[in-house]
Amino acid sequence: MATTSTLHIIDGDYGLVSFDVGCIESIFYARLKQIPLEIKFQNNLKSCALYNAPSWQSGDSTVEKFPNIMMQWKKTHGNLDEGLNPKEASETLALINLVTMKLFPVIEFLYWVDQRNSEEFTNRWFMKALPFPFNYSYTKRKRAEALQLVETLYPVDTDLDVVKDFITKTATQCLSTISTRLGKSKFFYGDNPQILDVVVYAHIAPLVKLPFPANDIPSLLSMWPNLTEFVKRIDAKYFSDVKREVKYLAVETTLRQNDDEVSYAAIFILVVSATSLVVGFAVKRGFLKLPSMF
Amino acid sequence: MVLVDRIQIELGAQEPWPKDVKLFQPYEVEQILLPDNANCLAVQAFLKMCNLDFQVEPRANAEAMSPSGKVPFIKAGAFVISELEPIVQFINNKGITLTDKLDPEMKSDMRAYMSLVHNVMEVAELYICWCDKETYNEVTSVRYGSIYPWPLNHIQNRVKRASVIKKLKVLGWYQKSMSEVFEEVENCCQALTDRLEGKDFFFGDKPTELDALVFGHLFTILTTPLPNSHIANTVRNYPVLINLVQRIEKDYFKRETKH
Repeated sequence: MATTSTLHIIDGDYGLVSFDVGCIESIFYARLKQIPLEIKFQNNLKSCALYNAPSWQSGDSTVEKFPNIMMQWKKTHGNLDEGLNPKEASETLALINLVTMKLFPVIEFLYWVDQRNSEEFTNRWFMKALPFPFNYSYTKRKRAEALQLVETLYPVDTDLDVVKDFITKTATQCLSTISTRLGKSKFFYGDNPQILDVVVYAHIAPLVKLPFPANDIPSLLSMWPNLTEFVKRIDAKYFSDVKREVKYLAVETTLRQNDDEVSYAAIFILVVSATSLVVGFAVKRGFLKLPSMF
Repeated sequence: MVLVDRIQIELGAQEPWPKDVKLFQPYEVEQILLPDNANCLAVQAFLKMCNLDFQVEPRANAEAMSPSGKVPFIKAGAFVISELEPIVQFINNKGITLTDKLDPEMKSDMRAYMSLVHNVMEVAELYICWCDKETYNEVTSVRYGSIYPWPLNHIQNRVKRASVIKKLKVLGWYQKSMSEVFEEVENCCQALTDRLEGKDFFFGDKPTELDALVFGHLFTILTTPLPNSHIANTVRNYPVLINLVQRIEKDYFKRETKH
């Protein structure tokens, strides 16, 4: 049974194994437990039409969403955090709750609600990464979901700047909480990653790796170097095979460089024309006397 | 809250605790609902733990008066602050805190547990009040509509119910069945019991805002009569938590109830 199981996920980029938080959790969990499965990226019509990433398909049954997939894997492959005592297990539950409730809205906001990010980056990436009709439906659906999430969390505030203020505040609070909890240790409990590490990694890695155009929230992470170290440690150990180069938006970076050159030229032309205008004006009015050329 | 308000609150922080602090909440006997009652009680417990004077001011439209749309809220001098966490923050700024002896790690644990209680207990209470048909028809709709004249009560009920259902859908709870909701509550109670480890309070021998929050929710669940009493019975399976609730009730509210 194990050999025929497949995991359908959204593709990744920029050294991130997938763009979707649930997909990162599923892959990481599967690698930790060494569950034999075939990973399929959603880049063809059939996969997009039949499955909602992340979804795990084994035989005839399909399980969607990471918590459900994890429950299934717990039954078939055993529990990931057996070694924890009751108090640690209870802390795990509380911290997972904190991360999913506080950090997930932050990611959704950055991906889809923040206008600059979604127009210049996320939306374009998904448009390229997914096949034709589904890229439209997927981005539309995700944006609607994210907007709903933000609306229900902050029902009174309609101004997105105010909401962003709140989101930045929750992000800061949540990140500082997990940073103090992690401290200087390698993983949250002991020397091996547990389910809490999986969840925390999946929620922090996109902030660390993705080059968001408006990155004031991701840059907050530099206040807690131990979290960045934590992501690097896990990358080196479990995701060393993930390629770092840019897959889908490569064209855009070259365009950017052209953009920069154009802007230098523009500055040059502007400076020259402005100076000549001023000099011309001065000469004409007689503020500046040129030697007898005329 | 706009930035200016926040600066004002920080500036006003140095002033001592005013004498005429009022805590606004809906009417306890005929109007308030399970989740709101839990939050109001949590704030009351917290203020009592800090030994601060306040008066409870019941208002039918407390929900509409609150700056964040949620009850309870306090009015202290020129400041109006709603919900437990901001109130705790406001009082901490005045130099009154229950958590000065905790190290940073414990504080982060406390934050995590508070988020757990908010996101499991409170959401489960919302689910039972608004999505369980029997409870909605017999309790929630009657109480929530009690302050409005006919036909407005039905309209208001509908609007509120739609917004609660939208929230539950976004949080992924609306799709859950009743038994799954009780399972979540059970997991949460188990986690709290395991964290308590037989101590008097969650962090040492002094209560913190987490104890206040847990007290507010569990006490309300235990004492509110509902057609579906399964949630109260679930909580009753955890004697450690019941002891905590009784201890706080005796110490800070000077009364005793049998659960």
